[in-house]
Amino acid sequence: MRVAVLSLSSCLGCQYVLLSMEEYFYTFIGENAIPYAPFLLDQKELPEVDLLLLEGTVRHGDDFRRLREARQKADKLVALGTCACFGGVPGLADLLTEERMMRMRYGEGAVIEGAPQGVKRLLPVDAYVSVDAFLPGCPPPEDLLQGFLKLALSGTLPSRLGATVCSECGVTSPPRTREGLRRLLSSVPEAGKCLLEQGFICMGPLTRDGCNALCPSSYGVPCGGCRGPCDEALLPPFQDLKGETLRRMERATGERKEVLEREIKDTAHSFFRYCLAEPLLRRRRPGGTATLLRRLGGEGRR
Amino acid sequence: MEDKDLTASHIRVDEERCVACRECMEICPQTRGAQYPVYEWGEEGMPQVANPESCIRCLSCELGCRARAITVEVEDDGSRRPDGDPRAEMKCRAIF
Ligand code: SF4
Ligand code: SF4
Ligand code: SF4
Ligand code: SF4
Repeated sequence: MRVAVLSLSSCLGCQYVLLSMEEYFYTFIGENAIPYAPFLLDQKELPEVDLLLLEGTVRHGDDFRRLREARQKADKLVALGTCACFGGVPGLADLLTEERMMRMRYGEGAVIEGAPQGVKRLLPVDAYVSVDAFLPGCPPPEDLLQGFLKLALSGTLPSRLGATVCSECGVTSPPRTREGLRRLLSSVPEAGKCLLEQGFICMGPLTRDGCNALCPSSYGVPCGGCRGPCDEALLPPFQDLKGETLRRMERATGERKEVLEREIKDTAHSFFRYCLAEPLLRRRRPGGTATLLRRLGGEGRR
Repeated sequence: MEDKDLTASHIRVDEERCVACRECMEICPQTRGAQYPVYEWGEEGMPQVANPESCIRCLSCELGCRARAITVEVEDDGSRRPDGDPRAEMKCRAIF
């Protein structure tokens, strides 16, 4: 098969997973023609390919043009990584104005000559073109990517019936301590026990499985949601990452929702770190996207 | 008439997945404070289906379980979930 890898605005982390697959990577490049992969080859033009792994999402006009071209040249287009699937971390840019971001990063009055115009709203790539398969993860776990590629290269684009990170999580639930909202900065969780029940914000119940619950099970760190929302979170009646998490936290901490909401300093990063750009999660909020962003502390863009 | 085993449960709890959060027991309208609760807390620290005949098949526990550990068999499988957004359905079908 002719396989290419293309990045739009991204951190290149997803491509790096390809390289870190080591042995399988050699099999992969041995058995397939890779005519375009900027991190490997000095090839400027994207040729026609059978399978295109697309990383990152559309941040400005140039990305959009490259995405449209990529769609035309690829027989099958795969959204690789949470940026491409749900907007990922770049989606958080919707909370700030373009000027504010420039000021924060490069100082007062900074301009980049000839920089392409930024998009008004960040969206995942399937909002622009049709996508044949999604492999979320920030970055996707190696074994998952390997499994996906093996199936995809044998001809069928795979999908799997998703559960949640909790279903892979090896913890047990502690008796409720009801100590209120807790943070990793100021308190140490008890190992092997559910972090949500201990009062930490854990996105496991609403996050797609596939990572073997790496963070909560192996490192004792709450799941941040990097695999993106699970099926149930994308479909009615839920579609409410914040509300569902707060509901569970009310039970766990014994605090009222209003009290928890006041204590949570950064709602956007806490609940929507990897999927703020996903339109399915915005649509049902009263007042639509603009109101949602404002309520999350955003300034609104342009 | 065909004999029906009334004690056979149409509710399955996957103990591999369950994280023992007890949420199902709190969500189920036929468990909390009920005389014949659907769920009871088992000795192994997992929910046990004690009175399946009390179940009204509202699917609250199935949908609410954080670990997707519960399956409630209903006759009409088509009504499991309220209709989703077509884009959401399509996206869910294509995710790995
Ligand atoms: S999904 Fe994560 S690892 Fe992949 S490009 Fe985006 S930020 Fe980087
Ligand atoms: S620690 Fe997080 S992922 Fe694990 S069971 Fe608790 S809520 Fe789920
Ligand atoms: S536990 Fe959550 S944050 Fe950690 S790798 Fe899995 S999905 Fe990502
Ligand atoms: S809600 Fe699910 S994970 Fe929680 S105790 Fe019930 S079956 Fe187990």
